[in-house]
Amino acid sequence: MDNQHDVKIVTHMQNDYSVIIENVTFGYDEDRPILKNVSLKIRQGSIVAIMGGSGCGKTTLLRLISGQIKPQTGSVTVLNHNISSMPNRDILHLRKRMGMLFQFGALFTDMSVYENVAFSLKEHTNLPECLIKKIVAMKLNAVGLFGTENMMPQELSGGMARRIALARSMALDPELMMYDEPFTGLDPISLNVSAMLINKLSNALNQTSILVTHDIESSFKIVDYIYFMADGAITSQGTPEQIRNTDNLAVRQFVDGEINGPFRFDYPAKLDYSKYLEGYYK
Amino acid sequence: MNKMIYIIATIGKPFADLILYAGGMLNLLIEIIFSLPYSILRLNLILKEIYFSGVKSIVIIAVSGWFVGMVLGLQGYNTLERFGSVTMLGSVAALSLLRELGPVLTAILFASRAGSGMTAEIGLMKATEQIEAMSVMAVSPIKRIVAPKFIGGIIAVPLLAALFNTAGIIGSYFVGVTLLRLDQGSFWSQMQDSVDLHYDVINGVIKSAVFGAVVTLIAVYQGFVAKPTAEGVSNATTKTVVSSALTVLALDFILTALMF
Amino acid sequence: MKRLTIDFMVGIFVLIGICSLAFLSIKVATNFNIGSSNNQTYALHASFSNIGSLKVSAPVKVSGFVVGRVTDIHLNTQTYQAVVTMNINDSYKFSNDTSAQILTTGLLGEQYVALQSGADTEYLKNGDTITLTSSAMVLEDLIGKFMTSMTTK
Repeated sequence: MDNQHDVKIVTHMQNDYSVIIENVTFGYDEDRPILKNVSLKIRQGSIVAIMGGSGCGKTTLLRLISGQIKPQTGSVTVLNHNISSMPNRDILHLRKRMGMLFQFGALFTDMSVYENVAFSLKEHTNLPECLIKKIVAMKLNAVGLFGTENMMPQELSGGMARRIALARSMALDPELMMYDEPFTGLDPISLNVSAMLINKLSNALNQTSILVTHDIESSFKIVDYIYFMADGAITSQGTPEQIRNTDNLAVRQFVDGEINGPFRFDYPAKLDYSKYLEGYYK
Repeated sequence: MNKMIYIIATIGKPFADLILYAGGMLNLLIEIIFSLPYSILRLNLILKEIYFSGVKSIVIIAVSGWFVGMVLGLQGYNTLERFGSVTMLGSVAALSLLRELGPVLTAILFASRAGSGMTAEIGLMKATEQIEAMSVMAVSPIKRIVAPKFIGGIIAVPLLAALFNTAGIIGSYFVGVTLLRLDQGSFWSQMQDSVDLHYDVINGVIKSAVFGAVVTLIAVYQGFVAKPTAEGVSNATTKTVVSSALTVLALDFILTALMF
Repeated sequence: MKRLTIDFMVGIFVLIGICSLAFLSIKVATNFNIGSSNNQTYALHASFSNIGSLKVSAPVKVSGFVVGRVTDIHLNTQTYQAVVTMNINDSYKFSNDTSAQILTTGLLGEQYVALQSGADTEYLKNGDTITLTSSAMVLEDLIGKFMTSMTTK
């Protein structure tokens, strides 16, 4: 198993892209597709942000990359494995090389911080306990929370829980990290700390990072490339500089936070509001 | 015509739901069975499950068993007195406990005490993305969470049922011998005469092991299909208790028909 | 919760469960069990003209002590008698002239086979047939006899 793992890393070095998504369509119902003909490539070692309004299919895209769901058409290639045609057992194997940070951390509430961070080390390696302890201490130190080993997730603040979760997903030094809304609901300090951490870890381990986020300011500081999504399709892409100076109206609206624009804030109701109040529709 | 279709669909829906339900359950059972070789080696996980489902149910099982035994003693005495065969009390109490009441009531109590907890635990883990996080970390939740619960249930329920039966027999002894002044010797000897180790004791153990498996399976399944909301989880725990009770009673009939 | 505490509590739980099982099998159930490995048995047959409501797994007793169980009951189509097969614990030997009788525990209780050992020095072996038998007392017959004796008086 370990030999096989080494071979995979070697082949991986030959390719520039960690994730290649080609013409992917996906929907939970046949008639309501969430992703429509999405194609994107993520270069190895880069930090990429996927942005867009709520419900435009960003989280679904992450699920596709982590192999939790399979596309109806098109192909998803992750770390040089075409996971759209892979049996579930092999996907499970491939996931050991990926990490994912969930929106609210998703720490295991019945385990202490130490057990949470040590979880995948204990499940996937035969390392002795004393070595695991050291690795856990290193990971916790990296997120600035060394010394919290014996705390339970309930005792942590939201920002701390997410940093612990970050340490947990980093435990096996993954080649590909996915962050699902890493900045939502954080105070400005935690937010900056998190952005800095993502940047630092990504550079230190030369790992590929994919951020799904709404936060323009924080993410623009650290990312190399941005994909904009709307209504299940990629509408615009570019480096932070290009996005800042784009003419695309939808992107402009998103970046500037305008209420009026191609993105509608109001729900497209069938009835007219003022007529409704006048009692027109009786 | 549309009305006709609607009526037939209304009749068909519960059956279609039942088939889907059974199919989902069977699917889960197969997955659990495939992950048993892995999980059976994770002794600490199984111990933890036995602790939560078994050890914490000792008191409720022992107390319920004791009261059921006392009621059996009283009712049995009143009925048997009419036929002048009150010495049969011991055997009546022991047989009804060992064959039916012990396994069935233990399983129903287990469903409400431990099964509902399992459903809520898995439902909440799902709602807070812990299940998803686990599978993204390349650990199958079936192997890590579900299978240990399943094994724990199969081990814990027969032990709890044995405890229930013992408490029940002691309860009926208390009513029959201590309160109603039956002869102690004939109480035990009548019991020993009619109870057979293989037919009654071992079949009771087999029955409760099956019930343990079924109740944990239902509890875990309900946890997985629960809507990830507060209301969804609370509905799922209710469903666990209700459908466990119904399934255990129906299965008890089938097992009794096969065994005795 | 410390690992040791969990182990300890589970240990206690399993002990309680095993004690309960032991109580049920020793104090509540009959110890005699046909077919179990350490209890070697041998088979005896006996023909009865009427077995009443004798059932398979009914006890076989000597002086009220259980020595075996009825394992099979079938009809001999030549003599039209019921043939009862019993498995007897190996540690009990019976002489060739042993007699078998079907008796009832109490007035309404279950029926069992009672063996009465004879004086012969030869012992019955596996598969042998007990020839001296007396059938079950059927309550209806008794009442019938009683009624006729009443009317003839």
